[in-house]
Amino acid sequence: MVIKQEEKNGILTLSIAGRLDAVSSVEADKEFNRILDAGKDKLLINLKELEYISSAGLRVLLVVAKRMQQKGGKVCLCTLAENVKEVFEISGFSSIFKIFDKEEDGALFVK
Amino acid sequence: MSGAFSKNIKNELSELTELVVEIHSFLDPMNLPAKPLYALDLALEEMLTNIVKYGYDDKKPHLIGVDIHAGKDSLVLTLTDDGHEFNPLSAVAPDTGTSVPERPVGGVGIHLTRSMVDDMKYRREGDKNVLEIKIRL
Repeated sequence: MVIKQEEKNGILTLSIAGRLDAVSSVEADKEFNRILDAGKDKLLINLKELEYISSAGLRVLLVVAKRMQQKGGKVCLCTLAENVKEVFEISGFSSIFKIFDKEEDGALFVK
Repeated sequence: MSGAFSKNIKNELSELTELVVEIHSFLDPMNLPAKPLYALDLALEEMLTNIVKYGYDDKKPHLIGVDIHAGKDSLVLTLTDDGHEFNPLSAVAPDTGTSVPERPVGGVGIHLTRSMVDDMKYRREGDKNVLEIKIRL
């Protein structure tokens, strides 16, 4: 699992690649907390290169959503692969997050 | 196309990473579709983490049996553990309709697994839990 960060026009884009499972989500959780502690409030999470997510990975993203909501920030997800999208739908997480097929639409939403 | 994978792992979460790599090298030559492979990975992780986190009443090391049988039209994953009796099929599905603040963190692993695999069977065999999960190819 690799998280790449890119900041443009006040929006922080996090691209998560690889597997977000019970082991790697521990590291991802720390990384997200560091980012949220730094006060970022416009977050676009790009999952284009995420091959796999389990309930442990969903949990980490749920914590991000809760923290962003508490501080009045905006967060959304974009470009989910088919299998990953299915996990979001079955778990009901697709109704918790704003999810966009195109990165540009996600950027417009958090702006 | 058929084959069998069998391994005993320790009841530690860190075992998962290597186990997944080994299972992938067992399955890769079979060129299976992505969907059943995802379902297998997910079922394995969700059920294993459940056993490791909540399955034992002591802090002692235990072994968990992981067996995969790859047949012509299905994958069958069997997990065997010596934890206390627990039937994941009797677990209640979480409320997936609530909004973010009301949502309890966690509780969706079993629900995801049950939705993504084709059949799950549980039995108590002596002092062991045996969970058999079938995924159609």
